[in-house]
Amino acid sequence: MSIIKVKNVSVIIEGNLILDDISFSLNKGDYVGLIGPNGAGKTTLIKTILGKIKYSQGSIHIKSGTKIGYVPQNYKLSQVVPISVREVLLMGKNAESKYSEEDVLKLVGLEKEFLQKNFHDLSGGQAQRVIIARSLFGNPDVLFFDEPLTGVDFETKLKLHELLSHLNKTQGLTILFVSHEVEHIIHACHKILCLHKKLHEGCHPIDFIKGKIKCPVIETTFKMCPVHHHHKTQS
Amino acid sequence: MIRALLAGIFTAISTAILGNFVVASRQSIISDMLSHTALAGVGLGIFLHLSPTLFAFIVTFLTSFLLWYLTRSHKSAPEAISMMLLSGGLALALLFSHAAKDNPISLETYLFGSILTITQNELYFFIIVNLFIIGFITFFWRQLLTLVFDKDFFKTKNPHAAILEISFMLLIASIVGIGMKIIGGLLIGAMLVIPVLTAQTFSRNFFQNVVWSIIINIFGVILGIFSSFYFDIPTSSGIVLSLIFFFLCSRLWKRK
Repeated sequence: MSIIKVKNVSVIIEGNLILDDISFSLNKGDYVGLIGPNGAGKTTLIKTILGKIKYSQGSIHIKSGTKIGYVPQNYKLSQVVPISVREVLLMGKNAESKYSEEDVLKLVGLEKEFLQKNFHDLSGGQAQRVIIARSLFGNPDVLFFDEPLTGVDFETKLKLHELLSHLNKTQGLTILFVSHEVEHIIHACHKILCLHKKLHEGCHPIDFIKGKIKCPVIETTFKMCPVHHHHKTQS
Repeated sequence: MIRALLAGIFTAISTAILGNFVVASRQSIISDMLSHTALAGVGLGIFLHLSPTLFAFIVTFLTSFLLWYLTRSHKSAPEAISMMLLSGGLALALLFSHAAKDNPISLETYLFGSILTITQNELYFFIIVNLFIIGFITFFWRQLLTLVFDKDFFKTKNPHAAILEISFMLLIASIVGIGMKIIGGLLIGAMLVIPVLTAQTFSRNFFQNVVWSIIINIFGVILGIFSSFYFDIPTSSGIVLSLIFFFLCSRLWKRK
């Protein structure tokens, strides 16, 4: 059952066509990766669904009562005054929060001792987990991640995906994960969308690799990979 | 002197609380800008022979709206707009006070404050405004915290984010309005910002920082008033220099 349905949406900003006739839907329990080169309009698409950017054509239907959480591209909090992890989590709290502060930290794999720590003293990976926990605190049905892995080491990236897969399976959380690097989403997502001029949809990266569907991000990534090259010559 | 102490302590509490939000939102310059435009209101009040404090409130409120409106589209840098309004305010203040040479009330009172000449009615008014500011912040603590630390996140959660944004600016405008009499338009920024910086030495979270700022600000005001009383120095100088003294002590203590 689709909870978000985007149909023939076009967005024009200052005379430039940023999104052209985009259609896709997000079903409950989906873990969808949205990839595309820089400047393809991925963030614009997310912000349009969130209602922060107006679209000039098409329709966006969100199932009533659906709560969307958003982990932005740049989550850096104002660093000039100390703020504890507990206070950061408090920002995400609302009347529907079914978790306690300890619960949401546990969901993202952090000990409750972290509550007292100054947020600015955390490592990049820890801070990111706290930001995800803050979004989970609002009890969302869908979570949008806008390239949350920029500037984080590979192991942290891998751990975050394990965490998201876990939340997806155990909490039934629907996830839309945006990235310009395919390796972030390749092993975790159920479905891949590639935004490059138009929106291309595939079930597995292999669809893109075999050249059925054009996606410059996947093509460049796999050109560099000798195993794939071998695979391609065989087939 | 009791009146001065009471007004000073109440203002110390509300400026310390509000100051933490102002510094976290990186809008320290806005308090400075509002205090300079408030002087335009004072000048107008002097020129019209009406209450300068009342006009200071009106002008700062209007400027808050103007600033919000001008910076809403993100196309102009807020600090540049603030700077323009700041100089504009000061220019108008100078113009009005020049035109009102016949009025015995001088602009200087409001530039540098005069806490020792506070009247009973002013004291009541200041206490009410301070209590309102403290109450408002306590009630909207979580929302304000989100707004100043992560504006984008706040906007995705609240479709009516602008209402709180404007209210926050009006709070700054109110504290500037009363601060003019207590410590002066040019120095009110000190009570908002310096204790917050000093408190950072001792705090690990925002709430602790607020509590420490309050303590530091109250001590600064008391020390300032007493030093002014016993050594015959301007009270505002006493307060600001005490606050800077505490700040330097905290940095030395941290290095130990």
